Amino acid sequence: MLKLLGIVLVIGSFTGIGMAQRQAYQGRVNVLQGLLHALELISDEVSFRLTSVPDLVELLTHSKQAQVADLFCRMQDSVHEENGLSLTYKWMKTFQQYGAEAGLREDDIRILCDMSDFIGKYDAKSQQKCLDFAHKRLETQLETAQTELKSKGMLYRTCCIAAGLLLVFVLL
Amino acid sequence: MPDRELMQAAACLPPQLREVLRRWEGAEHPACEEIRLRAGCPMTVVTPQGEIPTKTRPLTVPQIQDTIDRACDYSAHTFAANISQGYLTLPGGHRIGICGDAVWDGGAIKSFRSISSVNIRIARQIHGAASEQMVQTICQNKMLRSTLIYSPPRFGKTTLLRDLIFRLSEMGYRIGVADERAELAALYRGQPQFQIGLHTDVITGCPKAEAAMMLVKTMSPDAVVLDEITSERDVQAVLYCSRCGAAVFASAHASGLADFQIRPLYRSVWESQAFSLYYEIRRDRTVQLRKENKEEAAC
Repeated sequence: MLKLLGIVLVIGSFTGIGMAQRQAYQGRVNVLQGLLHALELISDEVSFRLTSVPDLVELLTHSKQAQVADLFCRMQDSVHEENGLSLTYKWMKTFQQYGAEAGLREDDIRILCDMSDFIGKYDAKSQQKCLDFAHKRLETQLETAQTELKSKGMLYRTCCIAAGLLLVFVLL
Repeated sequence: MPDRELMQAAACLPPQLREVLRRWEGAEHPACEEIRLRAGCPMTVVTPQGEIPTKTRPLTVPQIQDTIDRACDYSAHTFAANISQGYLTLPGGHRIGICGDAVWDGGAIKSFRSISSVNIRIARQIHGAASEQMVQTICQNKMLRSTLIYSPPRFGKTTLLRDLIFRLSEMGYRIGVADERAELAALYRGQPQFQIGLHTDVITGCPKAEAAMMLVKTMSPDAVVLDEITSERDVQAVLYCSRCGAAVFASAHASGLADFQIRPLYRSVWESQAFSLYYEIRRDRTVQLRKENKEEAAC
């Protein structure tokens, strides 16, 4: 009975590790998808309603993607903080501080931080072009993330289950 | 306790300048009319006694740019049309006038390459600017009479017009305001920053001629208000509204009735008798009825 319990525990924990690794890849894909939707919304709002950046941030706090909503909630908090820092700096700082926590990688974060170079600084048309460029860069990131999810995600899960089984056999 | 309007207008200043203003000895008195920032000069405050320099170091262009960035919520695209016309509206109805190195494109100012000076005009609503007698003269037998208010700049035309809107709207008249430069109602995020009454509809951000015509077509106002008739299109809008059965309240720059009459722009307005009443604001801010056409009121 104890042996059986041990086997289940070992296999279960190794599978858990594998699944967690896969989840990290899946999480990045989800956040990138959410951010691409966010960029589309920003683009539409800027071109049609000329919505201001604080209002855009407020809109994005209602994003359906939880991590994206959380990122913009933190940004909104920092926007409301009166510390003499510019909004574009706060934009950049939010992604730098909380991007990794949301499941983004350094190069994804860099793209979002680069947006602070143009967001709210030019007329709607010019911003549109920059937003399109940022969208394309994030799309490329998403493609990479999806490929990684398929290959490495699967690999981690399979390897961890196999390692668990192997350990069971060794211990037996 | 610093003056509320002064500090509200100063909210767009960088923190260090705001602090200087908070500590300024005149900050408690509601006499401050303007805050002026000029590159290379200290910040000054305009009061009825004149322009008083504050204890700040000479301002830099980035400090002035920072003020504009704050004023437009770091959203140049949202305020691009206003900036190209050289002004911004702040919460509370305060206004910023902009000067600097303009970018001229396609026959109009597109933006500013660099901003060298700004003038923050502190808005204060003055209830009672329109006297009871004036209101009664305008509303005759429950009908509104088209009224023109004229004076040289800074005599209080907009303040008088705004109070008139409030009074008439509170009396139940439907007032449509074509507020091109957001001076009368000062809409900020859809919310009027001044009290303009319960029955007032405002269109802002587009040429007042177009706004006035839209108001007549869609809101069926008893009166349409246009601040400052400055172009042929505005004159056409006045004539259009007055022929559609709505009274028109407008203001114009003129030093006197004779000055108004001889201006080519206003000739058609004068000849068509679009206005029943002509009020003049004098230097001492007193308002005087200068001409009254005895014809039927508009509504």
